[in-house]
Amino acid sequence: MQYVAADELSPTLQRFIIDHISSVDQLETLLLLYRNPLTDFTAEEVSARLYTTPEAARTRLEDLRGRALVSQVDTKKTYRFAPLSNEAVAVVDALAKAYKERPVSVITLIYSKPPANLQAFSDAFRLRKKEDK
Amino acid sequence: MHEFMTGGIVLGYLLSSLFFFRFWRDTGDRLFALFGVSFLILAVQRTALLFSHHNEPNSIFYIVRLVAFLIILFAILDKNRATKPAAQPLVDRSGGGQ
Amino acid sequence: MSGFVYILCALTSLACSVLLMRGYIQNRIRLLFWSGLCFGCFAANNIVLYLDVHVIHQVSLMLLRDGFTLAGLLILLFGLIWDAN
Repeated sequence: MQYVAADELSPTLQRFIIDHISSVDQLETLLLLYRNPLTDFTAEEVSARLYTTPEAARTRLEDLRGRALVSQVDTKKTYRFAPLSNEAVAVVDALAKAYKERPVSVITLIYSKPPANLQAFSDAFRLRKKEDK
Repeated sequence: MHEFMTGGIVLGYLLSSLFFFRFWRDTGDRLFALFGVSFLILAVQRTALLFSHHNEPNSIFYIVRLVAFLIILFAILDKNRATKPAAQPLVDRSGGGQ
Repeated sequence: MSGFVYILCALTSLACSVLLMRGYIQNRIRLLFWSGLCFGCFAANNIVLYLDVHVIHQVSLMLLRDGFTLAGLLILLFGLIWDAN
């Protein structure tokens, strides 16, 4: 594999980043909710905390919701950190730790992924779709 | 007219093959290399066909075509075989929708 | 024998086309649409080739065969250049 600087991160964490994390903004969004597990955030609150636009924050939150990392309280349009399995919690733990201790490795891995179009072309030939695409 | 179209077709196969090899270089994904090889073979087959003054149904030419398409088939099978170990979802998808 | 080969090639192309179009419907990535069309044209080429060799003898379908292949390749190249970013 040609992914760069990945050796310092565990294979599970690498796979998680490759499959689910497409940008640093998204990573920061996920970690914001992760560090405040008892808080419900609106998109506006997230955008204020992360210095981004509410629309961008909402897109990120919806994407994380689609990946079952974050859940939404429909009536209030708020989001909270809510992965569905202990493995997912563990890997986000590891991700938070790695981002703190080895941010360069994490960021390099995120941005060394192939462009989405090519990935989609290649994935189209999977007869059974990966559930997380 | 036929030569004109054949020229375009050969160039089309060659360029596509080049793109596929470049995608292989960029992504490391073997599927692209296989498509690149397949299209390259089709380019060569077309060129040979033109210079031999034969028509396609002569055995050597359609077997080369068969090889090219078998490579594509193999690429698809290979893609589906290789995903098994890596396809462990760490996160359960609720609802499983797109 | 050649007939079997052409049918197999047609089916392979059709499979590629269907898979790519399914991908396009799911995630709207245009590269998949163009390449799906390309393989559709390849399938058509193989079908016409089969007809030309084994079924229709009064008329040569060579231009039609080449037309489908060329169209498919032009569409694919357009997609690769315009949309593969």
